[in-house]
Amino acid sequence: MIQRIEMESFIGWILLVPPIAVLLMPWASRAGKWAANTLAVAATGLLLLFTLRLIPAIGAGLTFDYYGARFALDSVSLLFLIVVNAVAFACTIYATAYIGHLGGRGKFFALLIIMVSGLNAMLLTRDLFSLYVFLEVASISSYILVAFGLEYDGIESSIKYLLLSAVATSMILIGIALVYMATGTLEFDALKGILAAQGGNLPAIFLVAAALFIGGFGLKGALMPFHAWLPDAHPSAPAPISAMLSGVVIKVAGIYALARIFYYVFPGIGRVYGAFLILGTLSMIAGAVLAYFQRDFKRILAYSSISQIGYIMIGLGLGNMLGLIGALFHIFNHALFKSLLFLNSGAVQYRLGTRDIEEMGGLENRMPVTSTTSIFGTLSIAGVPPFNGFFSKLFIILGALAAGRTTIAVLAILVSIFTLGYFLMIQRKVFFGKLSEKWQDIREAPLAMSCAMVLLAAACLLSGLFFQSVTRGIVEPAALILLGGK
Amino acid sequence: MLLWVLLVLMVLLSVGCCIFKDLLYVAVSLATISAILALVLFMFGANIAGVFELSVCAGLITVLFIATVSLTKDSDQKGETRLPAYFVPLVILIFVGIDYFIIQHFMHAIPPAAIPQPSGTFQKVFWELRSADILGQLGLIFAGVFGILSLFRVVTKEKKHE
Amino acid sequence: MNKEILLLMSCGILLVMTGVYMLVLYRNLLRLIIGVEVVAKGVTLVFLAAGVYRQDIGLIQALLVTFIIVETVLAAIMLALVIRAQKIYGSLDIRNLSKLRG
Repeated sequence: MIQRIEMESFIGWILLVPPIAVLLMPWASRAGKWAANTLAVAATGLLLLFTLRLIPAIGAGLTFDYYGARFALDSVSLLFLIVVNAVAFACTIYATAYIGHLGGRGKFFALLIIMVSGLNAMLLTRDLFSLYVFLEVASISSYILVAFGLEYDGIESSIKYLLLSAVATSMILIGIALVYMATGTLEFDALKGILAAQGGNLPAIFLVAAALFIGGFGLKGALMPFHAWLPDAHPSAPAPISAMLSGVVIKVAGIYALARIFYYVFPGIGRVYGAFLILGTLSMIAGAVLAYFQRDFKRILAYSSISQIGYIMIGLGLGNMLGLIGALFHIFNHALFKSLLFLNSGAVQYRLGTRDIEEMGGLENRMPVTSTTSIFGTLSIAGVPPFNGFFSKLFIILGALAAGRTTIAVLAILVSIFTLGYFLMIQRKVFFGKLSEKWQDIREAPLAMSCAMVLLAAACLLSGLFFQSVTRGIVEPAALILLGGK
Repeated sequence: MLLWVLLVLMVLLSVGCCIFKDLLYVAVSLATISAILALVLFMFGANIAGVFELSVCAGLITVLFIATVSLTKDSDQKGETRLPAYFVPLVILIFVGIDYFIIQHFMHAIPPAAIPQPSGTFQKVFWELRSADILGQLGLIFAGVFGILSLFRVVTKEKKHE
Repeated sequence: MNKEILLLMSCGILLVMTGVYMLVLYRNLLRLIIGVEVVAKGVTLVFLAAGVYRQDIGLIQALLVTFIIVETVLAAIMLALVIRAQKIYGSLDIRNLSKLRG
């Protein structure tokens, strides 16, 4: 009994640590560089610790009431929580070294912690409108963080990102209003009950709301054709923010919301799953093809994010157990390897001052850690065993075959091979080959950045080698909860 | 009857936002839209929301906007194309048509309202039922404060080592 | 469903469409911000319609107050970004932001 009470309070701590850290940050940054660094790393580290301590609570849902605000944890939320806090921890460590050349250290960490807390709270809430509010908290922090460098790139893409997001949030809000009008409640469990009582025959208004949700959350999650902001925003942001955005924010803000709404709250709308499949396939193919024609290292990574999100949406659209396990596992994996790749590109940019891959070459001798971890990331994203990407893509393809969608399975395999192709090309252009004279004096990335990259690379390898325990322990319970709503 | 007049006025003012050349007129139109919206909220008994709408949107946002307009005065305004403004009347008619079409369908799409169970007074709802939103708002305000501080900071690069 | 609710809903949708029209077609950054605000007003009307239909004004007021705070912070951040953009470019034309291709 005492154990359970302690478990629940961890949810409270996860929500409480960020505000305390943010309040202390101005003093810490005034005290000096190292005080701010320690505070930020400690905050994200504590968040990760509490999340990991919550793992044994899989299966049984936990709730945490706070003066009437209900926060609840189930396996789906736990999977995403682990993703968010792990990547945030790595990015914070990385940022301690990267932020030096941008200035504004304390404010950066404060905004980063606010963004993470917004995402965490979004995962823990059980109410549609609170979902929106915390989504806005995370989004507004991300707009500012994208523009943090105050260079023309960052401000431009931040404004474009912001304007498109404004349209997305208006769609989401109208959807929420329609759902409220039709049912009179905004809580997930109450909505689930009302819809179960309807007996699967939903009034037309829910289809309208569903379309609005797909549009709105799809834009947040960079699903085609709502992806237009991503290829500009991710390259222009500082590297740790690109990693957070691509690895975590689009997943929680987009994919989690869609999965929660269309599997847990409104299960069984066949047309929605069809839409997921179509949009997912479109994203997968178009993202990979467009990535091939880019010269900017981070832009290639951004387009490849769109492609991988396509894989995840296909997995979600298939509706069977294999597809869901594949999608959820791919969310976990993609967060790890994509943020690793973005951190690599950031390290290269930090030392070289450019993102153009045509100007690079032969860096493996001068930057061994970056180069090796980059190979880990490339093999993961291309789906080469024993790295983690292989297993999640395998599950998605098997799920497609099991659902009878052989075309999609074949397309997925082809795109995977194509992904391997262009990522190897990047590796060759950036790291292998002859070292041009410009870069003769380049040193390896600073220690903090290298540590973060090594951490993520190790996670990629370990979650691939031990994919059984990861799937059985974390992913499968989440998939069961999502399907159990059906 | 009053509601019709107010809402039609609101739509006309939003058209005005599209058409007016001078950004000051646009800001005033937006402020008037907010004021009328506050009046509509009062008409339906949403007193506190009306007060917020009036003071914050009609007041604060307009002031911020006008401050920004004056801070960005010395920019080239000549490049602004007037083409969308000419299309506005036609487009508005199309929008009204689409709107009418949607509303016709809408009437049949909503299931009938069950017995209303009001959640209580605003105070009770806001502070107890939706206290998670209060945490969200605190987060938003902090994000806004730190955001403005970051966006207007003076960039002094810490020593960059080569 | 009585006429008033339909009227509120239709005007809300109309304002949203007008706002999106402004966002899509205009190029001056400040007018784009006005577009976002107009969309917000439309959404407020839609919420009001939902609240009147369900006869639960208390809940809707709470949602609206929260939404107004979100809009205010968003407007402040947008305006700050526009001021910084103008300082760098010297112009408020969003066409100048076309260095990056979507």
